[in-house]
Amino acid sequence: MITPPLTLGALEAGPVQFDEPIWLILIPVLWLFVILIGRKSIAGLDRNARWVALLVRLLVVALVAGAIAEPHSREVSQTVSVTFIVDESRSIPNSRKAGIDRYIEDASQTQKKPGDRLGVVTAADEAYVQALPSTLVNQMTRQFIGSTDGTNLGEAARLGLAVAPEDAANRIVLISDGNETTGSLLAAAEAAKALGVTVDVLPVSYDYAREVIVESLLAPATARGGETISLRVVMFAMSPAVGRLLVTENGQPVDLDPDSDSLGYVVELDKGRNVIAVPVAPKRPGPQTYEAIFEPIGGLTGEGENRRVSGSADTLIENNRAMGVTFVGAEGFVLVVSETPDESQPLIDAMLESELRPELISADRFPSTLTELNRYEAVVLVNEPAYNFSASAQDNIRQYVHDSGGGLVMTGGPDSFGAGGWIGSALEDVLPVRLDPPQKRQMPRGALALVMHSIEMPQGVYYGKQVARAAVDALSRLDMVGIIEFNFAGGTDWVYPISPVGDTSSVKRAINRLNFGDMPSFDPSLNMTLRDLKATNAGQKHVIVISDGDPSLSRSILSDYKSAGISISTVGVFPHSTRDFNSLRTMAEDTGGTFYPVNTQQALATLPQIFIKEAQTIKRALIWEGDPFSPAIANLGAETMRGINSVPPISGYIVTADREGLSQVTMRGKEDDPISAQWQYGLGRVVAFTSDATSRWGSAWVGWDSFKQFWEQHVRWAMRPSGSAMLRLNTETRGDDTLVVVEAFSASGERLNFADFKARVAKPDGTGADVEIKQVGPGRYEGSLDSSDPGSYVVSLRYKAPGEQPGQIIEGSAQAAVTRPFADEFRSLESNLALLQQVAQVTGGRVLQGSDPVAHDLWRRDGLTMPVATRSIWLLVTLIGIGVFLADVGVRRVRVEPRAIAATFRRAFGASTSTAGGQIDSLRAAREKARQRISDRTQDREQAEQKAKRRFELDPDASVNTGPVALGGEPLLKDKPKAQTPKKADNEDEGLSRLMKAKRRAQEEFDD
Amino acid sequence: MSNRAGHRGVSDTMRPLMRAPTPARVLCAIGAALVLLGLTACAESEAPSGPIDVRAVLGEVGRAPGQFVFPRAMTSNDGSLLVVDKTARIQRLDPDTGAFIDGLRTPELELGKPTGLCVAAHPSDPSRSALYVADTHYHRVLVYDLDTDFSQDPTQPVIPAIMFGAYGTEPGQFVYPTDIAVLHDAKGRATRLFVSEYGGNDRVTIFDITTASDGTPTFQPVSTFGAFGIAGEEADNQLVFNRPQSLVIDHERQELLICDACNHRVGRFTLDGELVAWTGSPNHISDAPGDLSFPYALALLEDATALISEFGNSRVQHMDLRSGQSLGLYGQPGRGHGQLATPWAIEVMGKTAYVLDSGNDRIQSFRSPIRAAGGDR
Repeated sequence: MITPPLTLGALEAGPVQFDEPIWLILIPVLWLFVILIGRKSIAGLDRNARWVALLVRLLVVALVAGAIAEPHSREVSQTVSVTFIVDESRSIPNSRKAGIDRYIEDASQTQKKPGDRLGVVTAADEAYVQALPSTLVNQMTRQFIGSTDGTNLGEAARLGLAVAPEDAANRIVLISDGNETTGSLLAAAEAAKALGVTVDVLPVSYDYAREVIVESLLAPATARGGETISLRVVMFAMSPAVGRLLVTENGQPVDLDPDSDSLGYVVELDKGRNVIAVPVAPKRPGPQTYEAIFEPIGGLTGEGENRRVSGSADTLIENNRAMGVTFVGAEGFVLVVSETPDESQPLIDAMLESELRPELISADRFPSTLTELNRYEAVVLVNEPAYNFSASAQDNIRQYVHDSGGGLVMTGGPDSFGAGGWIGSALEDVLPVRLDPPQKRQMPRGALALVMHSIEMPQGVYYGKQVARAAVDALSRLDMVGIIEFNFAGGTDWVYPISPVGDTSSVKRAINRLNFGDMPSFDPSLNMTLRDLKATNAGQKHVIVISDGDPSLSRSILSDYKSAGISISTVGVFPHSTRDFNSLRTMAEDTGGTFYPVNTQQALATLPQIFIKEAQTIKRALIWEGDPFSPAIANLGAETMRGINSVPPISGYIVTADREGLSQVTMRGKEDDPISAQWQYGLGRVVAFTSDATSRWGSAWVGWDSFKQFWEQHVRWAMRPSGSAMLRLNTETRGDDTLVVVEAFSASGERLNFADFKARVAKPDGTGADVEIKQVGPGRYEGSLDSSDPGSYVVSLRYKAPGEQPGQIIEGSAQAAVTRPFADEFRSLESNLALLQQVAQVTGGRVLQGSDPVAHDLWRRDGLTMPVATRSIWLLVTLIGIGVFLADVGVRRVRVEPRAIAATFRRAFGASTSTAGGQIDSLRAAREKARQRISDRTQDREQAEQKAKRRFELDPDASVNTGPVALGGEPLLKDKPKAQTPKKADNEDEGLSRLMKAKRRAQEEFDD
Repeated sequence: MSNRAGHRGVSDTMRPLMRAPTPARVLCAIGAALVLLGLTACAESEAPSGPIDVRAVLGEVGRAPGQFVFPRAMTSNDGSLLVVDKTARIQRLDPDTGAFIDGLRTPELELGKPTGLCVAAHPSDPSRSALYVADTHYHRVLVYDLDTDFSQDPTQPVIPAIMFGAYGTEPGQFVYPTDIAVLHDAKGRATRLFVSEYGGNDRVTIFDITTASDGTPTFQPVSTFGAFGIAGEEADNQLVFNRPQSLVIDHERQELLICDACNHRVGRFTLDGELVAWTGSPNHISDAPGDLSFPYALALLEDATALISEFGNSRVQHMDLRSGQSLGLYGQPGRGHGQLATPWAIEVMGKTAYVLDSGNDRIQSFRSPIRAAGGDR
């Protein structure tokens, strides 16, 4: 909107508001003009008509000017909407919840007026709307509240603001203990203030007289093999208590007291903080996770010998655990992940011969945490597809390499690299080759169609979109993808017609628009998909259907799919009955696809993997297979190729492309495709070998003399170096930061100076950050990292230092772990009244005392600004102005004469009320009058015709002929001159004189 | 908070004008009005199917009494509406205000919720009314007493005194029952019950209702007709259905009307299951007048025409089931006032039609072109 240069504030005039009132100045100005002009232009009208015409013109001008001034109608809302934010986290005692429900219901019944609204939002780990603000809601309702292991009051408050209706004054009532474990309630309060929403708080108060909390388990950051370390368990007791302390190491109980039958210590706790030291000897290398658990026995009363167990020691057992991690030095551990142990055996044997310590597992046993993964110095993925790894596992691998300095070796096979669905994965950027090769090297592309049906489960739409994105991400740019669903506005139709994936932005926009309509029948979507896939130029064509199996299905269409060579895989999600899976199973079986039943929450988590796996069905095009050839050595100087001048032939590999940057390709295949490449990624190193290490594509390799040398050099190059120096790492928590202290010694025990450290920390949220390590004393180095978020932090260091001999360089690495306890729901032993008071103060709300809803009067109008709804009415005002303008024309040109109308009525209906003689007399009179009128009109017309013939000749009766014309009855002007033959003007002076005379007469009438 | 509602709902063609300075807009409006005045004298417009001229909007999304979560079936009884939604609550509502009167919840809901409702004479006592519920995903029919089973708490599960059916494809068994229709005799007694179903066993089963001396009713399956199939692909003389979604009995003409939803047609049958005629065809599923797209329900009018709610076209169509002629269209897809999203059901009481606007979680009422057919309880 273009704003006029001069503006005033909005002007309110009763129910109308003018946003640009400056334009109203036009009204008096234009009125003046209208009056001045009107003195002449409507001078010929009779007195009443002139006034009416003038008033109409003034009104028209006022309406037009008013329309220009942007008029809006104003409606002040009388409604108050109260949204309750109810803390459902586990810190709220269950015994209080019934009272909260009753409070809301009582408040609604006693205080809520007709038209007022009530809404409910719950706060726990995540916030959910339980009931939108509505006049029909009168009580607390709970649908899905999610995990209650945390409290995010800030998110709940923002959600409460988001659902606040615009046409009502809004108040939020927060019912909580004020203990938040994540998010910021105060920041949300500021947002509420900005929106003019007050937040009243109803504190849920509690305290625990008898409570024990295990606050933390302090474990040394690093330890050497065989060393006994001292764990320190920090516990806080509200009152003296006795209980048993248990410690587990990597999930296995540690026998703390070998002399007794039980596994733990019996410990007596004084009121306040207690620290108990527990010596343990790690049994294996790598990261050791310890957990301390306190099992209460009872409270303690009395002192000294009079001390006795009395009553309970603890109220909440959920806060009786704490964890810590220690790194125990380890060398040579390599994790090999393969689904085919037999094929991987030559590789394992080669590593064993090289004095490495390979550990072979399948992907389903892959370490679930970064800490566990850090036990290994390198990870080798042998022909592993992406769908075998959860999203978090893929993130862990990326972080393991980038931030922890671990090595990664990915070897080829038909399920690896681009053909294994790694395109778009977290590892895509980690690898030294591009998985999505350019067009010139790409084989016939694939086409994938997704048929999306409604997913009837909590967060079904969210999951549906997630899996669609996962599938699209696994495709390459030139592959084709299409998405079809049932939409209420258009029936079954393509949300994204089958077309190239490109940079995925447009297809992801389409995915965001998905609404997962309830498809009554599969047939329209399968018919459209078949028709359009047939018309698509693609090598592999595949369809994925996700549904609850409810829609009807015509089997005849499946044979059409089969004959067209198009497979359908089906994913059945939470069916009404497992029998509903029958049609989905048939669909897959008849067309050569796969059926995946998903009817548990656990299976639900595998949905993205299913879609990635299915999407890669069309990725076979990335596999090159043909006559064996020996890859060309591209970089003889590479450390990994030392002593290797030629390699045996291979008969297949996955097509990839060179990656820009510091990637080093050491072997090349057809059309210079990379066969082997390597690079440094963050702190870690990565090797990609796109052919395979088995007899499938490399049968000649297994018997090759340099097979062991080749793989030893590649794996050792990627491995995290241990180094010959000895580092002692300690960590200290200082507020939100952690201080990393490194003491470095050479192999001979001398302090190691001038070492160059490169350190990174892997944070619990999956991100990493550099840590600057500086020397602060002889052999002593320090750095600081932000550890404000709860969870485990893994610090990895790589160093280079001058050795004791001239020119000698010492290189190596070390790791340490820091555990920041979670802001557990049960760490708080009393409500955070201060925060709640602050929120009320910021937003102008109240701290509600007691639990009487009547006294609280939650729907009261005091302190609320009632919203005003405005509706633009400029068009309406303009149209009224036009209408009045037309009426103005009518007033001047057409005149309704009441007496004439009455006479007409009399003539028309008089027969019923008069005698026959009277009727005849009336008819005669009327006929006579009509004759006279016709005669007059004829004479007038003749006069007018004669005047028209006399061009430029002035007529003293001009004003009479331009006056209004009556619809009936007598002529309008009483002093209408009788018809007469016009005299021809003798000269011009006489004509002018007559005109002036006529004008003067009109002016006098107007002035009267 | 100020609500500039006047700028909402502006079409794309109007946007440049709405961005222009107000004086320009006013002048443009004056000019446009004059042009329109001239044009309207000589132009005659043909209005397409537009929003319904709504009398009242009943209900909204939510789980409180009077709110819905995707309502899927509706019927009427004695001046009130009965609606079941995806919370398995059956609510009785005031048809003028939508106010909650009473309700109940079906006994189980984990596997799915009912999709068919029918009010008819109670099988044990013709002087009382009963609500017959197609409990679709539990493969059974529930019969509630409308006088005694309903309460002020619609979330309260109520096990009816009469229920029958089990999973299966034998006569008397159901895969997924979709709707129920009850035939009355001249004395108002329920004598015959029709149940439609889908899920590969797409057919209609006819039950005879007999009542023992102690009032215990028996539902005896006497015949079934139809089988799953795509219209146009069936063998000669084979009667196929593809999701027969709803049933209505035309007592006056002694016909059974069936919405064969996924075959996009409505069938007229004798009360013994003999086909009289189809209206609509899977070969014509556009939004053109006369075509049907997933007709989910119909309401019979007193001149034997019907209002049909089309799930696929998100509209209501007034059709003559004898000639197949379209007599009027009501509504268009959308979320706004008078617009519809996947309507599942339609009901007419007197001269007022109620369309169950399922995708928008509400009921919208409008003036029916013809009064409702008599004979419904």
